[in-house]
Amino acid sequence: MPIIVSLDVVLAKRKMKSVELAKLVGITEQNLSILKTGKAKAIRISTLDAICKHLECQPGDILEYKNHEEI
Amino acid sequence: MDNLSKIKKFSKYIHLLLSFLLVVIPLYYILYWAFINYLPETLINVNIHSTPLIPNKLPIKLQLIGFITSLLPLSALTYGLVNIRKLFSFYKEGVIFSFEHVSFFKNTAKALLLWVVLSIVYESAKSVLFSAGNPPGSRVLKVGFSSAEITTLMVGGIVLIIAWVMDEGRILSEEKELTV
Repeated sequence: MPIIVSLDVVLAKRKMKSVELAKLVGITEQNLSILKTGKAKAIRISTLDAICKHLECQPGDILEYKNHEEI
Repeated sequence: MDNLSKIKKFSKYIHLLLSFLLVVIPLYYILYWAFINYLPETLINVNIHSTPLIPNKLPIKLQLIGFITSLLPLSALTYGLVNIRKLFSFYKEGVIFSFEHVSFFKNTAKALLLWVVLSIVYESAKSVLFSAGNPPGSRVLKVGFSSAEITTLMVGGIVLIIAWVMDEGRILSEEKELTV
């Protein structure tokens, strides 16, 4: 998929662990891992809202669109 | 008790029943051909009303040929039962949708269709074997295609369509699992 998930980059910048974010957002670690690895097929607006709230970032900081040629 | 718990509970029983059938059905075929000469005549001879039949015992060679022919529908039936059993082993664990489910349904449909064809071959072979002891001119080759076969073919077709629907269900289930 041409959507790149850079959640791990933002997590590193905020010096936050995945376990911590999963707890704050209210999702399982497994689901957060699905999102981080780009395996997710859909993301709920409520999940995105909670992630942005706790990481103090914009959706664009986490999700990035890249053309097939750029990848 | 919620719906999934009920599915798990009943699937456990059906799984057990299928395991039993997987042992009993091949055993029935073995015993049928081993004791064919001791079974009532109506089971041994083809029902030909117009010609008098000489009661005859099947020689061991014909018994063996009969048993080997019986392995044809038996293999299709066993294949179908094994697939249904696998399906219920998933249900009893509470797994409702997966890629395997779709292939189990497809394989069961194939087994049903194959079973019809092989049963016709088996019944035809039985008619030849059972009338082999008749005088020349009274020997019979009976090829039958009745409403029972049509029904099984229809069920097989329906199961195949269900497999396609299940595949759509699996895609939806996967999508749900991969929604964060």
